[in-house]
Amino acid sequence: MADDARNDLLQGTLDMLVLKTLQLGSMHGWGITELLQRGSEDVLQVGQGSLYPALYRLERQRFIKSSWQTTENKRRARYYALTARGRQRLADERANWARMSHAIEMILHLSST
Amino acid sequence: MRLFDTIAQAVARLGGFFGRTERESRLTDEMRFHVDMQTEALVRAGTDRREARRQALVAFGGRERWRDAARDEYRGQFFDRLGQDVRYGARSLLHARVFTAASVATLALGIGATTAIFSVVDAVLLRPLPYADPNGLVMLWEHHMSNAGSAHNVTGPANFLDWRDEARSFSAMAAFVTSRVTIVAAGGDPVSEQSRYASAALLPMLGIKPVLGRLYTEAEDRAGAARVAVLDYGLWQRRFGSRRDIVGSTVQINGNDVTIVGVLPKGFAFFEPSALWMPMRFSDADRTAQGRYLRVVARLKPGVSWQQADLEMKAIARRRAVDVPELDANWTALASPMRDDLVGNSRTPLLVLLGAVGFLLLIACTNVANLMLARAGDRRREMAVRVALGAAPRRIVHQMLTESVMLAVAGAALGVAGAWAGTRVLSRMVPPELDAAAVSGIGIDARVLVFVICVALVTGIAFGLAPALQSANHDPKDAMSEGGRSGGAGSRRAGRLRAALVVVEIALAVVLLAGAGLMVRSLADLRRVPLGFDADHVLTAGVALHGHAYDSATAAIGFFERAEQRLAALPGVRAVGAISWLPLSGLRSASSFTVVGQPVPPLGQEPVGDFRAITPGYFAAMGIPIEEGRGLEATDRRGAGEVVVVSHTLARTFWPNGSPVGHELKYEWDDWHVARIVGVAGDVHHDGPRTEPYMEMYLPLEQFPYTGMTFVVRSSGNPLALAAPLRAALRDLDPTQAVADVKPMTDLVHASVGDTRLDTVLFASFGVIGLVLAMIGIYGLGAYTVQQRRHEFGIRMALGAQRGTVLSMAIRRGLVLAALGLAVGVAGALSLTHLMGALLFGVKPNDPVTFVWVAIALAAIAALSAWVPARRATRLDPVAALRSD
Repeated sequence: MADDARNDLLQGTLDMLVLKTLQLGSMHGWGITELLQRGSEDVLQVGQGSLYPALYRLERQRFIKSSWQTTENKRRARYYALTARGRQRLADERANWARMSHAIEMILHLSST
Repeated sequence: MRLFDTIAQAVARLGGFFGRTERESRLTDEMRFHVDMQTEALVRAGTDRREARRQALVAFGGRERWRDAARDEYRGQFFDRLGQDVRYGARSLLHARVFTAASVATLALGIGATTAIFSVVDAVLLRPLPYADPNGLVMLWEHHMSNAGSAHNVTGPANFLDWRDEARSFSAMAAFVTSRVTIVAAGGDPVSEQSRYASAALLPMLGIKPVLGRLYTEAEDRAGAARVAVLDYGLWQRRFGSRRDIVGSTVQINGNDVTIVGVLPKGFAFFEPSALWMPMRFSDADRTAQGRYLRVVARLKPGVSWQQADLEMKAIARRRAVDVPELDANWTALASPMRDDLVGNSRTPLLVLLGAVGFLLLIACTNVANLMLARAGDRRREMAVRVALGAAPRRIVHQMLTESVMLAVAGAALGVAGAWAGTRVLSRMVPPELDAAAVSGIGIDARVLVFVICVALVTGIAFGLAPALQSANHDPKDAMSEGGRSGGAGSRRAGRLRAALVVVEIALAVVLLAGAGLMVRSLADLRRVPLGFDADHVLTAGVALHGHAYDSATAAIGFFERAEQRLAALPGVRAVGAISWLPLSGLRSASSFTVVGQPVPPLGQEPVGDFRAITPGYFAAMGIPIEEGRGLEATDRRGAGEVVVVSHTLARTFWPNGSPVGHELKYEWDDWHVARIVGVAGDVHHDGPRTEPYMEMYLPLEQFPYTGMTFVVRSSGNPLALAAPLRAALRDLDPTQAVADVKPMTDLVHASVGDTRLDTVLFASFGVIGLVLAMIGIYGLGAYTVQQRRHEFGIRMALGAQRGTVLSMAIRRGLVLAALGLAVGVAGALSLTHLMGALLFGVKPNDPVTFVWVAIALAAIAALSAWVPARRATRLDPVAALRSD
């Protein structure tokens, strides 16, 4: 199940999820994977091979920005934070997602009565 | 991990530029941080540390894949993308071998030809002359107002010395003259070397410093001073074994002891090559001397332009014409930039050829653009997939342009290799004066390479842009749903673009072909000009007598007489003669003369004619016909009545209807002479077929003594077989005299149309290559159209259409395009060929015969190129055609 979810995680969906986690506050890459995994009760396990490219892509598109900061354990880590553009993007994607899932739900609930 | 970091950082450092290094270290740092955090988390959960690390690394996944993906997303660095595009492009080009080979070959032709011609243009017209401050150097000339003589006529010592004293525009002025001298080094054989007498000011003016010893001084450049000379580097190596003790030693030059004071630097040259430089040693007597034989070079004072100098020279000449009318009436003087005199007449042909080769390059570009469009059609699905997967149109354009620039670079590399070979042939286009002067000569140097790189980039973008934009505009939905079947809006657009390119290509080829046709006709006409003599089976050999033994005219004449007797006795010799200035040798000696009994023209407006001293056998040996009276005979001796044979042109100029025989000519040569005309000889084109025959006066050597003669030996077989016996006979007669320029007369004839022949060969090659490329263009488009419409043709044939109908449908487009291209091309050619005027001979730039032939040739070729693929349409099996896709 977990594997399926990971494999099926569409590009756009991952972007949305990353944006969402960052809405909660700035965070480093590892923190994002942890949050996604814990937040989804281990259903979503984002591979680093997808996460970092997604982060760089989002940064290039100026939805997020990054800077070196020190963690509570005094380690140097790259922290990502949402930009105003990113906040807007997240809102759009959420709306989209809501529409899509609603539509899919409706189809799945069609009964043959 | 440490190893991995080390490698990553090494790679990053090798990457070379800051942005990349910074990014790589960020990737590494983030990756390490991530793995560390993961390990910690696993350890906290109770896993053994080493196992935790292993698991963390495994979870991270294939490092390289991750890094590749991350790199792609990160910032999209230009060079990374370029690298990617190049890799992708190389794969894709290697895959399409035929396309790649055709494109690279086409571009190599275009770029190679352009490079070769440019290297000549660069050497002749662009590169600075290898002298100190070359822009300040001017040549000073005279010009006879009658326009009969040369536009840039040499001057004489009297005028030169006056100019040097009076002119204010120059900081230095020097005269020079080139002459063959005989050198005898201690214990050596006499050698004849082309040498230079020049004012002491000349070499310092050019900024030349000797590698050994010193240059000669002003004090040594006076009559009566001790004789000195400096050696050319080449002569020093060749004849004196690079001996350093040569400075201070004495050699015999034309019978005088001369001290060598210095050696000139390697590679130095100025106008013709000169083995030896000696001072002019002008005396006071030269201030009133007659005769013109000097070239003058001067350096402009700072702030003075050559035009200002030119005005001053004209003013001085006006004063001289009044002060010394016997010398300078009707003469003017002028200054011209030195490069003009070095380049001579080569400027126009070179620029015309550069233009022509530019057209060829354009055709090559058009052709490759066409090939790329065809290929883009095949790649529609590939591009559509890339667009569907999220590639930005800009990225596609970038990719396509990368591929086209790669093609251009490959073509350029191949082309430069070809051009390098070609420049050996083209070095003949450099005028000899400049060839000697330009230190490195023509060739592929850094300047030319920079030019090639620019050409490759510009052509790559030029032919790649249209196909690239075309590809990026594909609507993926369109391309995918169309499947293989074509005819969508995109391909129709591409088809129109390809048609336009074919029209352009044909038009350009027509212009080149017209140029080639005009050159071919000019060359044919030039070759048809009868030169006035029979060069076959004739060997020539020059002897310039030197030494006190020949100080008297009798002795010199005696030598040539005895030499002729010996040569005539050689087996296989039919006739022997000698002349002072051989036809086509570029040498002549002209002076004014008057006809006794006809009104004397005002001073300075006398007719000018060429004088040549000959021996009685000359006319027979050269095969020049005697039209009236007689030739010269052995009885026309010194002391007998002075006689002259005139040329046909001279005779017709003064006696349009009657005979000149028996009339008398008066001319000045050292003294005043009156000679009776005894005959009329046929006209000879002494300066080649492009120059009209001059008025000639042939004088007997006995009555017009001269020490430098060229033997003309007519043999019954191969004239070169006579070379060795001729040398032996002359050495036997006097071993102290050198024999120079032993060569068949046909060599001179061949060389006299050499420039035109080379221009013709180049133009014809450009024309043929252009035509072939245009053919490929028409053929390609035809094949493409048939391919596109095979479905339609299949249906038509299934419905009973005649083969002829289908053929005409398939061929029509190609013919229409060819007709359009031909029309545009002819219009273009008519407006451009007049630029070739200077290269042509006997034909007008709008020569109708040439244009009709070009049109016929092109129409035939176009029809053939269109017919071949069209025929394929008629052979389609309707069933197969319908079933395909």
